[in-house]
Amino acid sequence: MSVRGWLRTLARFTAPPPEGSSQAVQPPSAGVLPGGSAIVREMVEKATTPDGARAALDEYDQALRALAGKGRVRYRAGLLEEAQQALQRIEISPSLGTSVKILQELFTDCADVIMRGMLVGGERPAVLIFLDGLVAEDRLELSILTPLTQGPAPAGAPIDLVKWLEGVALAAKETLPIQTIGQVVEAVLVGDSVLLMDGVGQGLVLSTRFWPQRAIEEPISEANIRGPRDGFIETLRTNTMLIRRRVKSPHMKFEHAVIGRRTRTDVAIAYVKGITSPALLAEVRSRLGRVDIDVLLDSGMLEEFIEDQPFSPFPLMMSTERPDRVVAGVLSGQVAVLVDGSPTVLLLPVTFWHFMKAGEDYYNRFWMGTLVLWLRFLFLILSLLGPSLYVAITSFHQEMIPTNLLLSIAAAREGIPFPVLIEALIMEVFFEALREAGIRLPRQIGQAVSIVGALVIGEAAVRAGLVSAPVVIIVAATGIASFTIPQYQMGLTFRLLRFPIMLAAGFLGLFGIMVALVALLVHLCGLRSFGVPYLQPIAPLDFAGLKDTLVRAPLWLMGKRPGLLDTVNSQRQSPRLKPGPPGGGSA
Amino acid sequence: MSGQKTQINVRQAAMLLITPVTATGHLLFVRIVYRYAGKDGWISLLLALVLGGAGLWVMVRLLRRHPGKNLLQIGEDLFGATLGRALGLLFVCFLLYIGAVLLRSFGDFMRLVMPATPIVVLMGVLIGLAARTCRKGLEVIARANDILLPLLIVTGATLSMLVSKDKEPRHLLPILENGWRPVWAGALSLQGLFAETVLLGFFGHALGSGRRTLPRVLWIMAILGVMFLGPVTGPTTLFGPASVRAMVYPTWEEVKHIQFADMIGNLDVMGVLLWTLGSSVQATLLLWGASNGTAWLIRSGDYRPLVTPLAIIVLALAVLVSDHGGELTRFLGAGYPLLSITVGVLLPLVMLVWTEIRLLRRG
Amino acid sequence: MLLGFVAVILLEVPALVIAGRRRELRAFWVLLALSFLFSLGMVQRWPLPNPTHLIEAIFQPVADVLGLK
Repeated sequence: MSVRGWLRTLARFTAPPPEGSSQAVQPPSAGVLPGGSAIVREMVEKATTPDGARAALDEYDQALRALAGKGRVRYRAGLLEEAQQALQRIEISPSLGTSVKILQELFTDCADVIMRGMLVGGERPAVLIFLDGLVAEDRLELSILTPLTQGPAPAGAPIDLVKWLEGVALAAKETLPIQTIGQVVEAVLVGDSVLLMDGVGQGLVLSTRFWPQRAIEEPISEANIRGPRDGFIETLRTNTMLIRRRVKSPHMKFEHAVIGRRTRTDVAIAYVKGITSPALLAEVRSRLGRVDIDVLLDSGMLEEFIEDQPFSPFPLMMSTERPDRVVAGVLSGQVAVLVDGSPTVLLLPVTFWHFMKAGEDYYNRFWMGTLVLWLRFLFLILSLLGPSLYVAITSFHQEMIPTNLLLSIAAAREGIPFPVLIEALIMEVFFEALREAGIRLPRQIGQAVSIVGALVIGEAAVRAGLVSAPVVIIVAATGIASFTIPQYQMGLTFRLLRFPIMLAAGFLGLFGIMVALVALLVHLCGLRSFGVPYLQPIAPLDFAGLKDTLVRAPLWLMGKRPGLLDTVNSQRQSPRLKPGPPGGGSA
Repeated sequence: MSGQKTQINVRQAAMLLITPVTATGHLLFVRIVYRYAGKDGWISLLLALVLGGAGLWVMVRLLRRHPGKNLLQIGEDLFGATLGRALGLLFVCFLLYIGAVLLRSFGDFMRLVMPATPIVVLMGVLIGLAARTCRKGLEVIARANDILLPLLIVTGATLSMLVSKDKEPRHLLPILENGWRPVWAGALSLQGLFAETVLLGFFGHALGSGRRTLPRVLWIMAILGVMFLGPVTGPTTLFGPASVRAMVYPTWEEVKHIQFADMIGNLDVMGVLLWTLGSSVQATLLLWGASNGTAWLIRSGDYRPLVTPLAIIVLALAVLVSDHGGELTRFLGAGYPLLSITVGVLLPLVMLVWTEIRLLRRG
Repeated sequence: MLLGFVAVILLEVPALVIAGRRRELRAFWVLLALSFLFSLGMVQRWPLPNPTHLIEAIFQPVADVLGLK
């Protein structure tokens, strides 16, 4: 900022506020300073900004402009960090007016910032700064404002004011003394309140964070019949609470990180010390560390920046809304990444087989778990290959179809204007559109759309001779099959992959399908999620891992943690846990 | 500068050997065995296994003598840079050539199922897939093979179970009706199968390490034997010796024959699928060997840029190698086995003997 | 066919040039030229030598002795 610009800003600060004009009737205008209580206004009028602080503020301003791409300073990585450090260099001045003035400048036009001036004990000026709506108002008034404004003045000269505030005056849950303006800004932005007091070169952070949040509900995309019904919500702290409540061990760690230059989103890396491999943890930290982005709104955005192979259609991290699932994962050596504002938690590393499991599998009887698992594999293949097989066989290999069936298919296809491939593609695309519409529309209408789409249009199209009935059946069956994939993301992947395979089938028949499948398999074999081969323990083969992959073995048999995660401690439970009748003998 | 650092274990190396041998064997060589040895094909098979086992043993032994080195490095160690390189070039050309032969026979076969599609397209798709796979490295190939081979075996076993009710073991009698000579010729022709042992020289470090050579070789040969027993007896017992001789793809005819409970029938396409799987693995491996060999010859650390041009060469050769369908079949029966014995067994044998002599001289 | 070759070149060469792999690049060009010649020959139906005949010629005596036909 130039000198003249600075003078202009200064002039704006020092000019007296327009007389008699009410804020309420004025149209919103730029350059509105926060605060406005009489004490603050009076204080600021008398204050000047020291040169050091002014230089730092200018530096901050300039860095921010560079980020916006319009300043003279060219953008380079770490510019925002530098800007924030510039703020960290400004010490909180013992003169309250100076500090408040700087803060006012920083928070210009932030209508939600409140600076509440007061006289502590009736004599010493102080200012409480907080974000309206992000703090618990009742707590603020009862335990902070009331004792400060109505309580006694700090007694005597020698007592340290900060200690006095912490120890005698305030009833806040958590307090933290801070030294710089940068810290004040950070604290205020996350919903804490900061108390600045005249004559004290420090501020005091008071934990007052509170914001309305969604209630803990059952996750929609991962419903189950048996097992816990709670799901993650948008608040990081609540989510860590949901995990912590299940793992009552100091070894359950939540490392904190901040990602997103502007959004400053809190991210937690959850793992269990003594189980998670340190190498994996280091890898996760370093990958998160290199994410230098502007906005982080959901864990899905983070996922794209820390994947092993960004072009793969397969999800390389599990995203789940179920705390029980995260706990199970973390205790088997995975690392969970929680992002504030996102109800989906990332679990990593994962293998393909993780996506074939629903949390419920482990709560039901193991026979059921195994059976359902096989069912899913079967339908996975069907959902991937259903239409392609139909296309390939009817257009290239009619001799494979038993004669009777062939006759009925031929009869159904009589008079259909399109080749099978086009027919199937039309139906598939239409089905996808229906599904998409069903998600986006309000729930009640969505159902109506499904009925109209599936029954009315499908039936009508067959009647009108536009598509043949077998194709409709196949597409419908495929659709149902794709819903048996327990993880939504994996379902998406297979929905996507269906189309290239259908094209291959349409051009090269079964040979095309086979080539596509081999290519797919090779791709899968080459995939790694945080260094773990995606198809382990099938390829590379690891016999011990099979009992949790191809079957769902009884829990008392799974004494070891999965070997693929290279856990520090592989023994999960006591080895001889097979239950039996009383007395241990045959009863 | 030894190419990619690859880590595959003994089991994977063995499985990588088994898949291609099985795939081409069932598709191409079974028929040649029938042409020579007829219903005594299984004796040919046993003989061929002994011979092939010997070849394998030579190769593994050679690798053990030179731990951590591939065939080309060994060649240069033994015969000096110039001669060694010439030898290496020979090996590479050999791999390219059998790649082309394999590709062409695959194309010829696929034409039966899809007569409308040009053969260049079929072969191009397969070699394209192989090239893509090849670039991902041996580890990935081995892992994919870990899944494909069991799949092949299970499907193959199921198919032969389905057909077993119609088999008539008496067709195999009398044994050695025509004496030893045809059987012997059949065994020699089957030897063409084991051309792939040369490939071991490129990725078989794992097999060369560890303790015993012989048990491993025996294991591999035993597995191969079991896998070939069905094909060399199946068609005879099913159709009788006379008609089998006239068949172009006997094993395929066997698969076609399956009729199960009036429901599942005409499974001939399953055969196509199996061979596509196996051939793709084999084409990948050959390409991998050839490109790695070339990379070594030009002293380059990275074989991947070479894969695509080599794949195109293989494709062009595949179009070239045969002027008409019958020619390749005749060649597979006569010239090819001798070629593969020379390059795949005799050359390594010479190298092994040379190694041993050097060792003895050194004391 | 030409398009195919251009695609191959575009896919492979830039990475190699950037990495400064002179040796690989040279080998790549040689092999690609070879394959281009072959393909051109295929398309134009030049009478290219058939390697099968060569090999058969070499091994024919042996094959005769061993009774392979």
